[in-house]
Amino acid sequence: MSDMSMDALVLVIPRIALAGNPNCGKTALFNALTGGRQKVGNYPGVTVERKEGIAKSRSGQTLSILDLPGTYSLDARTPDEEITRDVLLGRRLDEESPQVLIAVADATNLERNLGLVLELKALKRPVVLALNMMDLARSRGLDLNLEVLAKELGVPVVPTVATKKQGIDELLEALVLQYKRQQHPNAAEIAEHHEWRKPTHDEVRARFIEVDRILGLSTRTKANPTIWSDRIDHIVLHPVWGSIVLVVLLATIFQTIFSWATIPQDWIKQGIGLFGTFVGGLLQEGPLRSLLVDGIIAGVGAVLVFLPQILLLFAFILILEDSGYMARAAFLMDRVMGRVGLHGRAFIPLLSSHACAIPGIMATRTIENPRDRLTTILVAPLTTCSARLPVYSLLIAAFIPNTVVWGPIRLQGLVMFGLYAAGIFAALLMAVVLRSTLFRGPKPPLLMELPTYKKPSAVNVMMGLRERAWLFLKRVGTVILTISIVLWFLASYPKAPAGATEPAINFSYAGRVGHAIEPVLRPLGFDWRVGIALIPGFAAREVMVGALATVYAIEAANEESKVSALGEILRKNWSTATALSLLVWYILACQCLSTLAVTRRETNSWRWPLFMVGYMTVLAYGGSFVTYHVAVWLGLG
Amino acid sequence: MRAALGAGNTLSLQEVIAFGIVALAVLSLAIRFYRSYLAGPVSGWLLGRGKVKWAMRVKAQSAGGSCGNCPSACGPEVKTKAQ
Repeated sequence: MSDMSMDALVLVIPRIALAGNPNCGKTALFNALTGGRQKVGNYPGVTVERKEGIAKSRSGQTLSILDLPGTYSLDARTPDEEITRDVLLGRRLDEESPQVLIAVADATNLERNLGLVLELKALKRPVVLALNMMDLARSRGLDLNLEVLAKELGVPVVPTVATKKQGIDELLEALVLQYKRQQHPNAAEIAEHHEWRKPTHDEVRARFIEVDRILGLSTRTKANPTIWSDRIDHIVLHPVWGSIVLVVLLATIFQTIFSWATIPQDWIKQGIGLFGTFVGGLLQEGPLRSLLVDGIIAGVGAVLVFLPQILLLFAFILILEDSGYMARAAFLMDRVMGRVGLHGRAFIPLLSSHACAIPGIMATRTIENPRDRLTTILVAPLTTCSARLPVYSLLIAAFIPNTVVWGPIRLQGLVMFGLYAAGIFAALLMAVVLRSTLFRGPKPPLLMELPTYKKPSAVNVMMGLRERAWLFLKRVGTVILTISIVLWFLASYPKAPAGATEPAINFSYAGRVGHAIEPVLRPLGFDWRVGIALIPGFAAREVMVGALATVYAIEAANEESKVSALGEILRKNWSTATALSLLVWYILACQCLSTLAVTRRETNSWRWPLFMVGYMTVLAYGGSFVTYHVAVWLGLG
Repeated sequence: MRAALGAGNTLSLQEVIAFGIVALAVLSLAIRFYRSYLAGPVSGWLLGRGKVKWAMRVKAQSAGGSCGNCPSACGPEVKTKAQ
């Protein structure tokens, strides 16, 4: 399609923007409207940037839908709220102003949500109010006269249940009608409304008096307060009981990850072993056979076996997110966060970093103060992301006996929990250091809305898991596969000279590099093989597992080595001190180029990613050095 | 390549196929690296020099620093299909 016809198309499609308070279901509505699969969660601040999709009404009208971060008011305080304000006011040069607005309101909390609706209405743009979560509001006994509400607000009102895709067609038709019926303002008219100014206290008060008046007229029966929710909160938000619940919950998750994942992991291991034997049997001894068996199957297979554990971890995270518990955990952690100088809002970014540091760093946009935000960005990569899970699992399974500690608690699960806790502890400790040196300043209080408890949606969880599985397999099939192939070449060539008695890998490019950096790594208990595996680990942490599998497979090419026995090979070749040292390295090192790239983007400077990689490398080296020598001293060397 | 094989060696059929696969992998890694880490800064640099058209072209090739580990938070925007 030519540039001109693309421009024409863009002009023809009405641009609709979703705006509303945080956690009112905007992204769920966006997904329902567009068929998209954007991440949703039952806590505020999931969406931190604009997302765009296309929807089609029953009458055949195509609409461009824009999802925006949640905001309580157009008076933006955080970077994500600024995005919403600027898009709505047409202040962004790279973004055409939306022609119709969907004001999304949580029907269970209209007293607060309608304030923004009135602000949006004041922009003199066609608005349709989507009263979302109507099922929840009705189940609590709320009875609204929607006609009166629409009349008093002066905008069409459509009840919706985004998660069940209810009211979507009606909403689309209302949008089309609004777009066609009202003559939407031209660019010059919109420019007039750019002259938005910060409202005074009196204006804000008057707005909420108006909200009370409208609700007084339109509410037939008020919603009952959710007493059961308060009872649960009484326990989970209690400083002592709440902390115990949190620790027990996390410990259970890590125990379960180890015990439940074993069976599917064994199936995958057996499958990979059989496939390796099958492929090996098809070809004669030679480079292609070595590439397929020792490079690709060994490298990719070693990472693939961790799929069940990753899916189990995410199943728990998704269930906790959907239930509304995550925001409670943030509230509970505010006291701890406050002691280390972190803002309470930093909890959600740090929690997101347990999946991947990148969404975690982006989620810091919800933090108002630049000092608090930068501190959170810099410590986020210390929390344990899912890419570390394969390395942790491999080393724990190989070196930690699975003995019973107490009742259902086993040592392997406990060590895994300890590694995650160590990541959190390291992040909090670094936050203390940064807040008392580089980023001194007062800590603002946490003001956080606690979402309603909800029964986790099985569809949502399954969709999330499908997405996770696909991402993991895509990563295995792209980055890990290509790195395994390149590493195979580097570890196989140049070939050993005739009559050489040492293993051929010693003469290879990778072997030479490994031997060259060995003196630096030796004090940490790492040999040249670990050195080889650490380098591609910078592209993606879990590549290290595949790289180790490839290196050991090539080294033992003439022996009876099997791809599924990497843990066994490591147990034979490494001491427990080396394994512990490597675990500490993995907790503390910044082995992720993507994290550095996103830090550069979010801080708009190279200074902070360089600082991040610098301090984390020093921490990792120091931590591993101490761990290795203490372990050797304890007789584990 | 011959140097890598060692003196006096010639390429066997298995080696030709294996090296072909390695070459494809290197190319794929190079493209991925460019799209993930270079295209964004290069686009910014071009924009700074006033070459808007080139900047937009390069920006379109950027993968937005995505690591592939997170479902949707990466990249400046996500276009989804029609319902």
